[in-house]
Amino acid sequence: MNIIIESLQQFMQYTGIANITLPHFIMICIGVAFITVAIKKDWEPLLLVPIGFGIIIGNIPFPSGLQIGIYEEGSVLNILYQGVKQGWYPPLIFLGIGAMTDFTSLISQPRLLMIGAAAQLGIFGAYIAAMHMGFTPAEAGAIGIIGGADGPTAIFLSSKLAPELLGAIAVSAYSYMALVPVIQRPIMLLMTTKKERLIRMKAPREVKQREKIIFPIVGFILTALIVPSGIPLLGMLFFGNLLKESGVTKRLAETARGPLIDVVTILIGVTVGCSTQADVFLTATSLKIFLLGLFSFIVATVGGVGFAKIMNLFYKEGNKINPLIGNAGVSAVPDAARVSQNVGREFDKNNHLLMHAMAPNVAGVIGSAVAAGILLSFLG
Amino acid sequence: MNILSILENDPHGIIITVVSVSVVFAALIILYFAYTLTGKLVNWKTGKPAKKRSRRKSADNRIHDNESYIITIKREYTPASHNASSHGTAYDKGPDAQTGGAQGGNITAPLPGTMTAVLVKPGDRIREGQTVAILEAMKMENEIQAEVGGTVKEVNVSKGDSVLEGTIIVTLR
Repeated sequence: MNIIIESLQQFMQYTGIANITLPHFIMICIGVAFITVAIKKDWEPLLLVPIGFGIIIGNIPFPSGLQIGIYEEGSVLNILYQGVKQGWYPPLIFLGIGAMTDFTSLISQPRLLMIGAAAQLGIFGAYIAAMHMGFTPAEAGAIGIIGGADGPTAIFLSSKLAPELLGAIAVSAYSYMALVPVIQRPIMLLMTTKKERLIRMKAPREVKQREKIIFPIVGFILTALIVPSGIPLLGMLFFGNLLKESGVTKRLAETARGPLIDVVTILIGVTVGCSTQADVFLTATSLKIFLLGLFSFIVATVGGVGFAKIMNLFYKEGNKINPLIGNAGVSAVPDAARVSQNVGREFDKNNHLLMHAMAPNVAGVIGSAVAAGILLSFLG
Repeated sequence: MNILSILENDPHGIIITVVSVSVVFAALIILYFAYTLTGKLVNWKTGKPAKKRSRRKSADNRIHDNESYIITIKREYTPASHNASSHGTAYDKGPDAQTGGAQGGNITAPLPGTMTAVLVKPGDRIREGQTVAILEAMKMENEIQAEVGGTVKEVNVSKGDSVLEGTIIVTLR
């Protein structure tokens, strides 16, 4: 009898209940909150549900040495986490994004590429701010990339520059992407006049199949020659797009944008969630990263909208850009473009900005991958 | 170029920021020129004049039945239609897809997408601003509204149809 009680007591010490601490409990609540907003508000459910549940998985306390934890080498979670840590999930996601993204509106209006470049100011605004807050240049670069509003890019760069901050950076990037409508709308309204919001843009011209095929090839060669360190991301992005547009690789394109990206999204979401173990995540540093992340989104939006207004100074009446598509320069596809559409229709029910906003939106993906490449070559 | 020495001389990150921002812009400006050029080349090679106007027209003809556009329809003045015509100058008769509404008697799709609902039938009287159909584009449902009132003559699409930008959804009498 005594033996049974003793072994029960011993077992009790191995349970999570005995080891749970307040930080663990807080993190579990955050995980539940992620799942709740994903379901109730429909904010990026495909990301927030895996991340939310991952946070719960990662924050059940366990006795160390049993090869369970995500940071214990050789454990199951650790093996899955390698894709995040070594940075090979993000290029696979980019392959899928390339295979699902229609670049038509960008091809027909290449001038909107500039908005996608301007919105990358968020990255560098946050970079400078992070330097002032005492982060090292490499850490600051990894934090700044949150402003690219691109989860895979953020994971890719922070895994190379500041692996210890990866969890906080990834969670912050994905949360703000889900919050894009909340963050961007007030800035867009603040920065535009009523008249500007009513601008109707010319319908984009028709794009030929040949142009769509040339687009990824030319795009990759040029960007990769300028920023070779961006090759993993840019290469996969444009390769995926070629699969989509070549017309002869439909099967490959469908796998890339369907099953493949789903598998990687599940793995990246759950493992990034798991990596937020309370003892490494609940720190003042994470809080600073969240503040800087918000700041970078704000600067990115201001950059995009502001630059659209500057460009308007050079265009004649009838050829002007509605600055409400400026916010879409951040690369959250297609969320940011949807924000443009919704805000635009608040003021003119019949002004559909969606397809126009897709141009800076996909340009933003290219822009943030280029920016990540530059930061990597400077700070890596 | 010694990057470490740059980092040492750059405590506020300003130099790297300026350099990086210029590289991002340079890269995308180069892309801009490349795509403008390929756009011109591709459209020139096929023997069509590179003028935007004619290209646009041919696009419309390909997408739609010709008759719908050749007929000149007398348009009543409304602030909305005035607005539309002043911005759609480059395409003269082509539908200004941005209006998403009446083009002299037609209601056209403002975006490419899938029809999720058609809310009117021939013979219905509709008023300005009424929602006549719902179009899904980019996983988003968009209400398509009439910019002028009138009586529905014909409904040209049904639920589930894929439409291109400028496709006529409803013809008004």
